[in-house]
Order: sequence, then structure tokens, then C-alpha cells
Amino acid sequence: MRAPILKVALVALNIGEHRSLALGYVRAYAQSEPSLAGVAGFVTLDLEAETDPWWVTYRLSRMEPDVIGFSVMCWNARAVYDACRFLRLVLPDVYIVLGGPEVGPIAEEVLDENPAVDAVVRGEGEEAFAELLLALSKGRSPGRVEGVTARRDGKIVSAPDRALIPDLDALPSPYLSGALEPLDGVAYIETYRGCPQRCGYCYEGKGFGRIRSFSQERVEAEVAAVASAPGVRTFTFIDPIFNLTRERLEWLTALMEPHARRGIGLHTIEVDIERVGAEEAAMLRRAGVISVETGPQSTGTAALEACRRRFDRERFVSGVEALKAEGIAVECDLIVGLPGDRPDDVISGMDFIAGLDPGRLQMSTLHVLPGTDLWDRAEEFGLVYNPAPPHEITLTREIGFPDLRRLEVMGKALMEHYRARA
Amino acid sequence: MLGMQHVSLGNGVAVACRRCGRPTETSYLAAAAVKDDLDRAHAAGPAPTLLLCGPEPFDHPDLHGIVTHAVRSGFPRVGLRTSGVALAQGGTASEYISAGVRFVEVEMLGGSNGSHDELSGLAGSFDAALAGIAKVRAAAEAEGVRFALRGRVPICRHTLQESPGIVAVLAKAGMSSVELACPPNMVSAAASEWLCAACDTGTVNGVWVAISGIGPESLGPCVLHANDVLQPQGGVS
Repeated sequence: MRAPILKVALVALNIGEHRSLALGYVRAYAQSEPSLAGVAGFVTLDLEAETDPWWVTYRLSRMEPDVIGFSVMCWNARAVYDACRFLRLVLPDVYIVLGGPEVGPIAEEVLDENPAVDAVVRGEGEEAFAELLLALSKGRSPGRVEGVTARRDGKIVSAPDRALIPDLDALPSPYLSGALEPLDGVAYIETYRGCPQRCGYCYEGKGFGRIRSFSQERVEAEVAAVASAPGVRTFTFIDPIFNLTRERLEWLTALMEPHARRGIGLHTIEVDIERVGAEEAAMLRRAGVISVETGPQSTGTAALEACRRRFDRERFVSGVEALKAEGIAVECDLIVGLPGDRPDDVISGMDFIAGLDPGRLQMSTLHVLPGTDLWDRAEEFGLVYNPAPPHEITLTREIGFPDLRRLEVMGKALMEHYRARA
Repeated sequence: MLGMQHVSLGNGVAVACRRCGRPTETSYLAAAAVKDDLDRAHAAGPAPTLLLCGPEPFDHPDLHGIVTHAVRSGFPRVGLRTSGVALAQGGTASEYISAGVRFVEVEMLGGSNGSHDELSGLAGSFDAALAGIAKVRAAAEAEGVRFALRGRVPICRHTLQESPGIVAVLAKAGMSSVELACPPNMVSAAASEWLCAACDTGTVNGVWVAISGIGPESLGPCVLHANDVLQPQGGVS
């Protein structure tokens, strides 16, 4: 028989010192849910993805939780699955729940392949996870909770999808609620969900549909809390496009400017660089932006078309130059292995971004992620990838396995030589 | 990709295959002449990377002044082509990292101390070069600067079959890339196989190997390796 209070451990296996914003949201919502008051207690464990799964198991076993929730991304999924397997051996009665973009779109496969896992929360997790906890506390099956796939009577069952949360302000702020402590360099603020673009390799636009924004009052309160937190000198916005509209950029600039004047910086914000001119670049500088991240991901016509990306070379160059003129470092990203790209296209892309001298070059290998257009259309595009996370591309119709590996190594050398400068 | 200007410190080369004939006599330009060349290279539009090449740079009597001049002129990356031996000596590695060197290209003729020392004619130079590479890496790390290493293999009929082994050694030593510098007349199926083996050794060890001097049509399945991340751009030599 379960204790009257559910002890819930939320676990993220992060890159470096990062903290999981997703778990901050999930915890803040569950803690504020009246029906869970006095029913569930929470602890969050942020560990590094390289942490030995035995050590993850040890830490969790010492907490003796009733429920463990993992945030799963493509790059930590293997570590999470390993930890779940060991946890099941040590804590046979614990209820293990996974959520996140890596598992949501393939929930039934994840449960089928990972007997240690009890349930997967699909899509936005705040409401679904809280309801799942309530169901557990009342001895009901979580498999009936909308947005949850779970085991029931030896079978894997999926409840219907859950509608997107219409009013994002209904979600308590992780920072304002105290669920997540803002730390220097690794604090993220989200001002909206969704993406106007539909890039084939990304799940942002596909999974969340239309754009839903937090209110300005809510964002202003979060910025004030994060920017004034002890020790925080830089943070970032996790929005897919910081300069989503001119009006939004003006508002965020006005909001950030007083903090920028006292030395608070924004790093690695993502921008649509083709909509950055001299005025926008000056606004970004006034907002305290130190560095931005942008495409083009590819300069090859066929790949851009297959991935539904637009690319205007002149506007892109103009955007980079405008930002450089304001002293803002630009990280230009290329993805190796996109459908339609031949080796020469990838090399042309490297030539293009190196020639811009943007500040930082980032070459990545395509990961065919669950829930993306490329995942759904892999066969059509001739993409062969590792079915196990992180789903690296193995070969494409245009580039064989050896040349993909060669291009990866060439890209790594370019990054290293570029980085080495006075 | 990244343009690289070569500016020579004089006549001769840092490392040459003894079996192909005696290394050429070396002579050094006066520091003032090299600085004039640097000014001309910079005025022509400085490439992202500057490589000071020619005879062994650490034997130049005013290398430090030349490096300082290049750094002050605004070249983003100042590099040296060397045998690597001098970097193992005393505080040389730290001195030049502090002066602003951000890129070192080390020439190798063999993948073991036996072959490299014999082909270069310099006893102990293989071990010394590896020690120098380790020292300059450590110096860059200690200074917290962003630094890159590159290997260069002057290919001849004596070094060709050493090239896969050399790449393995250089990969282990921490190179970001390796250039196999071929003479234009080296076109044969056998030569391509050795060069491809060297390229594949680089790929599996995460180091880009570029082949220069011969056309891509001679490289068969390794045709991608005709591309280099550092490409000659202008220069004064």
C-alpha cells in the first residue's frame, strides 16, 4: 500500500552544468495544483548525462521515491534507459515516467523496448504529469490520463492526445515559484511556444503548432527575477526566434536594456538573421546580446527545399555583417547529412560560413529526431539512420557512409582551426 | 574555407628527406625584410591565417620580433611551420604562445623515431618533435588560449609508405588536420592507395587529412581529401 504522500523525484541528465527548464515547469505546475496539495512532494535532481547510471540509481535509491520522472532528449536517452533498467532492479515498486521530445512521439515503442518504464507523457507535460500523479495517488490507472501512454493489464495503452494549453500564463513560472533556481549562464527564459518555421529536422514547429505567448507581464517578472538573481551575469532566451517580430524585438530590447546597462548579457539567442539589419543589430546590442546562433544549416538548394528552409544569401551576409558591426558574435550552424545535400554542397556551405568570419562555426551531424518531418519521411528521402538515440544519420541517397564520416571530420577540423585565434 | 597566407623567413625548408638528396642550404631574410613582407601581405588583405614558413623558424635570430610584428599588424591567426624540435626546449613553447602564436604546423617524415630520424638526418628529432608538440599544447592550455595544431608530411617515394603511420602518430599527438604535400609527378595507383590509407587513418582517428599537389582525379575513393580546411591565399615568399 502506498504512503499517503507520493514522493516524486524529477531527474534530468544534462549537458555540463545546465539545468532542465522542462522539469522546472513540470514541478512548478504540479506543486501549484490544488488537488495535489498534501498528496505529492517533489525533489529535482540535475545530473550530467555522463553520470554513471549506477550512481544515478544510487542517488535515487537513497531518496526512496514513489515516482521518478525523467526528461528525455535524444542525447541523454541511452543514459536514461540504462538508469531505468538499474532502477527497476533496485526499486521494483517505483513508478517510472518519461517525458520529452525524444520519447513523446514514439511512446509505445519506448515502452515496448524498455520494460522498466511504466509510462510516457506525450507533448506538453505540465498538466498530463500532474494528472498522472493524481491518478496514482487515487489508485487509478495513469493509462486513462490524456496525453499519457502507460501499461495496463500487461498491455501498452495510449489515452487520447491532450490539447495544447491555451493560456501559457496558466503555467506557473519555474523561477517565480522557486521550482528552479536561476544560475549564471544556464538560466533560460521562454517567452512563447511554437515556431513559425517548419524545418524538417526540428520538432519545434511540428509538435507545438501555432505560436502561443506568455503575457508581457509574466515575461517581465521572470526577466526581473533572473537578471537580479545573485551571481547571474548572463542568461538566454530559449525562443526559437528571438526577433520573431519587430514589435517583439522592440519590447524585449526595452525590457533588457536597463539590465544590460548594469552588465547583464544574453548569450546564444537564436535569431532569424535574414531579418537583422543595422537597426535590429543595434537593438540587440542594447538588449545586452553577446552572441547569437543562426543557420544556414545548408546552402544547397535541394536540401533547403527538402527541409522547408529559406535562405537568401545576400540577406544572410548582411545580417551577419550588421551583428559583427555591433560587436555581437554570430554562431553559424551547418548540418551534415541533410537530404538533397551532396558532398560538394556541404563543402560549399563550409566555405560560405568560414568566409563570413562570423565568430563561431558549428558543424553538426543530422540526427533524425522522432516527431520531425524527416523522421516521418525518412524513406522517401532515402535517409538511413541509427534507430537508437541519438539517431545519427548513417547514409543518405546523396552521400554514402564513408563520405559522411569524412565530412564530419572535415567540419571538426574547420571548427578547430577557426576557433584558434588571437 | 580558411585562407592562409604563407610568408617565408628565408630560403630552405624546416625538414627534408635526406634520401631524396641533401637538404638545401638554408639562409634567413633579415627581420626588417620579413616585416616588410608581412606589411605587404596584410595590405593585400590579411588572410584568416598567416603561416611563417621556409627554413626552421626557431633558428631565425629575430623570430620573436617577427611574430610580435605579425600579431600587432592584426593577423587573426599567426602560425609557424617547424620541425617541432625547438618547441621542446626550455620555455620556447610558452614564450611563443605568449607572443601570440595560435597555430603550429609540424613536419614529419616518418611514423617512428627510426624512420623519421633516418629520413630527416636528425637523430632524436622524432621524440623531440613529439615532446615539442606536447609542450606547446600544454602551454596553450596553461595560457587558456585557443590554439590549433597541424601536421605536414612532405610526400616522396620514401615517406609515402610511412604516411598512414605518420597520420596515426600525429592524430594521437592532437593535430586538427594533416596535409600530405605531394610532388606533382606522384600519380600512380599504388601511390593513391597509400595516400587513401593515410586519409582513412585520419578519418577513423577524427583528424582531417588533405592531399595537396596532385589533382582530385588521381585520388579515387578519397577524392574528398583534395579539399583542405586551410587554403593558400596570396602570400609573400
